[in-house]
Amino acid sequence: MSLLQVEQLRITFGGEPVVDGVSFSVDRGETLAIIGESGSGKSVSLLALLGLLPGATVSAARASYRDSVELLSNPHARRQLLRGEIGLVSQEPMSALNPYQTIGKQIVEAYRGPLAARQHAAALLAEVGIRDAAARLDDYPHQFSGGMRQRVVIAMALVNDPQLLICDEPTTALDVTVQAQLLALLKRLASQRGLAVIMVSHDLAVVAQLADQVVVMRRGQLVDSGSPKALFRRPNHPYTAQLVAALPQPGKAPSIAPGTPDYLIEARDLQVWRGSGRRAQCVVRGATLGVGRGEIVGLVGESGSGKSTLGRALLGLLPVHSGALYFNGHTIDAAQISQADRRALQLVFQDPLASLNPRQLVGATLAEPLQLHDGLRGEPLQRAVGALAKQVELPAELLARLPGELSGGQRQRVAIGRALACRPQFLVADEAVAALDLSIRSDILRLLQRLVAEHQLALLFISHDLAVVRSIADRVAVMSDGEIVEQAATAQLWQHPQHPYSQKLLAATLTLES
Amino acid sequence: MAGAPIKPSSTATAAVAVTPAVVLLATIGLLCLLAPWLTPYSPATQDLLLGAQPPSAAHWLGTDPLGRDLLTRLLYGGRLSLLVGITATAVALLIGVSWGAVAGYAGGRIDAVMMRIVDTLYALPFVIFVVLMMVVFGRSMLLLFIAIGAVEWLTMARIVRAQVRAIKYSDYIEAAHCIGLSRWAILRRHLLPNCAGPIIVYTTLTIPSVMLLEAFLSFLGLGVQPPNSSWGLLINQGVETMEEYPWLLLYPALALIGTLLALNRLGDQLRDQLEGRSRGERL
Repeated sequence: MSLLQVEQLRITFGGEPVVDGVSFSVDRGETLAIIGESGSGKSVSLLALLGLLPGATVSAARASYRDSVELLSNPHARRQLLRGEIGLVSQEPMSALNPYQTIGKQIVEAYRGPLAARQHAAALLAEVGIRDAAARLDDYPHQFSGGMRQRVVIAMALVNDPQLLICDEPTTALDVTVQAQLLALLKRLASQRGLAVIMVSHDLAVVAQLADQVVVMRRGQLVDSGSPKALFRRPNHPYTAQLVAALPQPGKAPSIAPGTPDYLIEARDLQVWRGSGRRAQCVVRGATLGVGRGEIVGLVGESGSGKSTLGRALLGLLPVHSGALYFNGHTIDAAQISQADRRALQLVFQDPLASLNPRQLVGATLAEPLQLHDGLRGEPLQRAVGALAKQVELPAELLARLPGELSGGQRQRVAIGRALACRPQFLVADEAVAALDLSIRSDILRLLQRLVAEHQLALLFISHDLAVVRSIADRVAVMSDGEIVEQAATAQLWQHPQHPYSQKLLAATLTLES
Repeated sequence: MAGAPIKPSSTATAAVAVTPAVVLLATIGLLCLLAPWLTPYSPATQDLLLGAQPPSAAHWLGTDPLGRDLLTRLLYGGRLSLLVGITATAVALLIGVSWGAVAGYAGGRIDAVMMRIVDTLYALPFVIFVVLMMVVFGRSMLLLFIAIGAVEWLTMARIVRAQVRAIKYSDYIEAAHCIGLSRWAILRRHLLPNCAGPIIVYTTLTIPSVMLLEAFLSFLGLGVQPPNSSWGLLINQGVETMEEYPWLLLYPALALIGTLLALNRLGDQLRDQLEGRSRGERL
C-alpha cells in the first residue's frame, strides 16, 4: 500500500491536454522526484491533484491517498488533507512569506494541534536548523537570508505534522552552499519523521542526491522512471539520456591553452562602491583580473559576493573608486567612455525577459545597435539583422514577435544577438544561463563557446553554478565578499583548490559522482 | 508580417478591436462632425411661438423654451465639448508626459525642482486661477483650452514620473545604455513605450474629466458663452427646467454619460491589448 498513488493522470486546460497518462506513487519514508524542463507539467500535476489549479479539468484512473481518500472525487476530504497531512514547500521563499507578518505568526497560522502555538513554532524552527529559534520568532521575513527563509517555509509546511511533503523546486533559487545544506535538511527530516517527499526539480544533480525514485516528464507525458542510479547509468528514453548528457560532468573541461598573459582587458586593484552618502558600501575591494582574446574566464562566488558589480565595472558601466582599468592598452572611465569603447564592451544578462524591452519587436532590438553604430538603414539593415539572427540560431520568423512571445532560450539568443550586433571585443555573461532549463542551457553554452572562438572574444562568465563554469571556462576566479580569493586554470582549481573558501565552495557542489 | 521592414523604433502596435465602445464613440463623433448637413435647423434660430415641445416627428428630441431644436443643439454642442476634451487633453498629454519623463529619468535635484513646481501648481485653487486668467487675458475659447490643459497635466506628470522611475533601473534600460544609446534615445524608445499603459488609461480618463470641467466653467459663466452651446451648458440649462421639460436634461445627460463610459471602456481595452501581448499571452 502506498501513501499516495496516482494512475493515468490527465489534465486539460480549455480542452487542451497539458498532462496525459502520468502515474506515480510514493510511500512513507520514500522520496520521489519528478524532473523535466519547465512546461513539462511537473508542477501542474501536483497542484491539480491538490485542487490548487482552478480552471483545469483533472481526471485519473486512480488518485488515492492512503488507499482510502479519493483525491479527485472528494474535494472536501482533500481540503482536510491539505490542512494537516500534506505540506507544501514552494520555490520562491520570499514570495511564499507574508512580508508584513512575523514568521512566528505565519508558521503556526494553520496550526490545529494541542500545543501552545508559540512553543510549537519555536520547536519547528529549531528542527529546521535555525539557531536561537525562540528569539527569532518575532522577526520578519526580510531579516532572514534566502536559505533561512526556505527553512522557515519548510517549518511552516511541517506545522500540522504532515505525512507527505511536496517540494516544488525547493532549492532552485539558492546558492550552491545553501542548497547543499537544505538538501541535507530535507533528507534528515524525511528519515527522522518518516515523511514521504515528492520533489519537483529540473536539476538532476539535486535529484540524484535525494531521491529513491525518479520519474521523468516531458511535454505532459511520463517518459522514464526508476531509481536515480539506474536511470543515470542506463537511461531508457532518449530524452533522459539527453538530460544526463547535458549535465556538466566533472573532468570534461575543455583543454584549451590558458590565455596569453597580455590581456585584452585588465583590472588592477579595482575598488567599486555602490550607493551614495552614508549608505555607500564597498562592494568590490581590490580586485585584480584580466581576460585575454579568445579566452573564457569564469567568475564564481555566492550571490552578494560582488561578482555582478565587478562585471559591470569592467564594462565601464559603473564608476570605479580606485584602481586601474585597462582596455586595449588604454584606461577607461565610466563617466567619459568613448562610443567606440562603449560598443566593444557588452553584457548578457541573467534574465533574458527582463533584459529585453517588452514593447520592442525582436527584430527592432537587434537592429538598434546596428543603426546606431554602423548607420545602417533600409535594405542593408534588414540583411544585417537577418545575418545576426542566423548567427545566434534564431529563426527569422521570430523577428516580428515580442520578447514575451518567445521561449526562454530564444530570448537569451536575442539578448546575445543584441550584444553581438555591437561587434564587441569583451563580453560579460552575468549568470546568462541560470534562468534556463538544463537542455537549453547546454545549447546556449555551446553558442557562447562558438562565438568566442569565431570572433576571438574575451568572455567573462559570471555564475554561481560551479558545474556550468567548469564545463565552459579556461580559467576561474573565485570571489568572496568583494575580493578575488583565488585564480587558477579550471582543471587546476578543481584538483587543488588553495583557498579555504574555494575548497568549501567546491565541496558543496553536487555532481553525479557524489 | 514576417517580411515587414523592421526599424529600431518598431514597437508592437495592435489594431484597435471593434467593440461596442469604439462603435459608439465613432458614431457620436461622426454625428457631431456632420451636424450642419444632418439637421435642417440652425442651433441658434429661436421660435418663441413654438416654445418648449416634447419629442415629436419634426423635432426628434424636442425643443427648448426658446423653440430651438434640441437635437441640433446637442450635435453642435457635442462638437464643442469634444473639441475642448480632445484639445485640452492633448495639451495636458504633451506637457505632462515630457515633464514627468524628464523629471523621472533625470532624478536627483532636477527631479526635485520639477516636481515641487508641480506641487505648487497643484496647490493653486483652480477656479481662482481661471478667473484670474479670464480677467487678465479676456474671454476666449483658446484660453479655456489652455486653462484646463494647464491643470490636467499635473496629474499626468506625476503618473509618468512614477512609471519612469519604476522602470528606469530595469535590465533592458541598462542594456540600452550598454549598447551605447544616448539618454534621449533611451527615453524615447525604451522608457516611454513602456509607460504607454498608464498613459493611455489616464488619457481616456482625462478627456471625460476635461469635458466635465468645461461644463462646470460654463455653468459659472466662464466657459462657453451662449449662443454657442456645449453638453455641459445644455445639462445646466436642462437642470433649471428639469421638472417642466425633463427631456432637456435627459438627452444631453445621456450623450455625455454615453461618451464618458465609452471612453473609459476604450481605455481599459487599449491597456489590455498592449499589456496582453507584451506579457506573451496568446490565448
